[in-house]
Amino acid sequence: MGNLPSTKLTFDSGSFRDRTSRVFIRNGQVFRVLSTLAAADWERVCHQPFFMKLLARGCIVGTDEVTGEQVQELGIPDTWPAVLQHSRIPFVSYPYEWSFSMLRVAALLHLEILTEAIQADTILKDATPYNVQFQGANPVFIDIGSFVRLSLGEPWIGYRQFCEMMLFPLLLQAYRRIDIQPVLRANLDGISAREFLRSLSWRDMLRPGVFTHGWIQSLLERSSGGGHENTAEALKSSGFGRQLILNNLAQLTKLVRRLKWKPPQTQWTGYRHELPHVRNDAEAKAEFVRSVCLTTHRQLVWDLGCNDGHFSRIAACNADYVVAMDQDHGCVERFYRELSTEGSSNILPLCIDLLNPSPAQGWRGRERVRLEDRGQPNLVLCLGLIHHLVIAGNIPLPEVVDWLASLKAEVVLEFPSKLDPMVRGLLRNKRDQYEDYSLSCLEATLQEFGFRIRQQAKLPSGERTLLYVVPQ
Amino acid sequence: MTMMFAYFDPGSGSLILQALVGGFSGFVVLGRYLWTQCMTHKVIQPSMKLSTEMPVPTHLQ
Repeated sequence: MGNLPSTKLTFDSGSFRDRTSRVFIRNGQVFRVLSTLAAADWERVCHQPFFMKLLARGCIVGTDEVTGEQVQELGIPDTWPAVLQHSRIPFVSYPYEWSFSMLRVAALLHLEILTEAIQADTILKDATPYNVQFQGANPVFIDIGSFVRLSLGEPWIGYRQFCEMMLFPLLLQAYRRIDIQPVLRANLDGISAREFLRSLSWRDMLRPGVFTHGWIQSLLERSSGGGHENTAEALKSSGFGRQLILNNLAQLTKLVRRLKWKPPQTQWTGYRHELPHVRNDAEAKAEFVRSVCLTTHRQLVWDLGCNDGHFSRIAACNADYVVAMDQDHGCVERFYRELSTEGSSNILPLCIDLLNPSPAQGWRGRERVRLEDRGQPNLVLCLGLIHHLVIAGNIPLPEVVDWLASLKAEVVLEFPSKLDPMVRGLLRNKRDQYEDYSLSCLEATLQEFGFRIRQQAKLPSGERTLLYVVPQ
Repeated sequence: MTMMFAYFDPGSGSLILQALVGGFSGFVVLGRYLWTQCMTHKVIQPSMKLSTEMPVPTHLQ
């Protein structure tokens, strides 16, 4: 490990943990440089049938080796003997923004790839869900540098990481209904077996996976914590073989496949069909959104407060990619299940609370990028949302408009007046301190922050107005 | 062939657990591992005791 390449390239801020394989972005293209050790592993794995099969199926990110002149053009030092180029993921998302089923499919993909790899004497050297990204509803494994040769008698090094970052959060959601997003956002490296057990009752000990992967693991971790011997070497000399890893993987796959979580019914469930004023406006609203979406083909659309994803689907008809965000885990889970069944590849649903969106965090606040810095949208749908931000969330209207302006995108905005049943409901038990909440005030604020109103329409209910605004 | 090392701590207990969940052959591996550990500690401890038996300097006798 003494002759590691120097790091003169500007690497992606989240690519530093594995020194042998690092990512950088140049002119919107994604490249990976490999050290001598990692390049040898790449040479071996890229020709293996299991790898080519998974690549062809889209389970592994599209990868080509960069050679000759292009390497020189990129200015890559000789100390990095191999350079790869990856297909670009349209929008990077993190596990703390995924719904239960998204983390579950990411875990299953990891287990599937690992099972196939081990049969070809290859192993993944880590087991973090950050190695998986989504192309619409489809999970894609992105960390090519993770494939290494499996030495004879070596155990699965990533097992604990798999448990801490994927299995335990999934079990907490399935068994205790503890949402995975706050758990994973607060603990970027996952939760230990001990922390996991703290959230369970004794009765949960009888549930599949808890006793073995939780309780025994916690016990063994505590009892073997102070030793100085190399456990992996000791297990190897005791006859540890790859079949033991395969047995463990088969059990874990069965366990994760069986995990179920039923999203609860919340006030947002069936929002579009059950509330009369929303139902009456639905068709006119859809027509307005459709007409805006058809004006031009867009690369990236954000649908804020997407609920069941009805408007995301309309936007997706004339856009490369739609990121559909909602703070309600149940809504995102249901929408993801629908998209997954359809095999959709251009709508990505995410659990995002706009009152507290994903910040920049991790090492030096750079490892995980804030939501707004992961891709600039061309169009933002902000339907049935502004009253929740201003009245329920107490964000001043100019603040909301300022934030929308910072996205530098066209916006479709729905404004319900104070006479709208939904707004009346929000104000029911509150003192009305929202003098800035009016259509005239919104129009003036939009202009103040550099928007031009291009189209405006009142919905049939009479209390809701749609505005299509563009930055000047 | 060299053993691959992770850039994070894989956890000794978690590695041992893999033998435990691996079925019958895993129990055999675990038995051998525990036997080796017992024997290693048995061998090391007496030798450590011997090393502490320092000869007393003659001028102090």
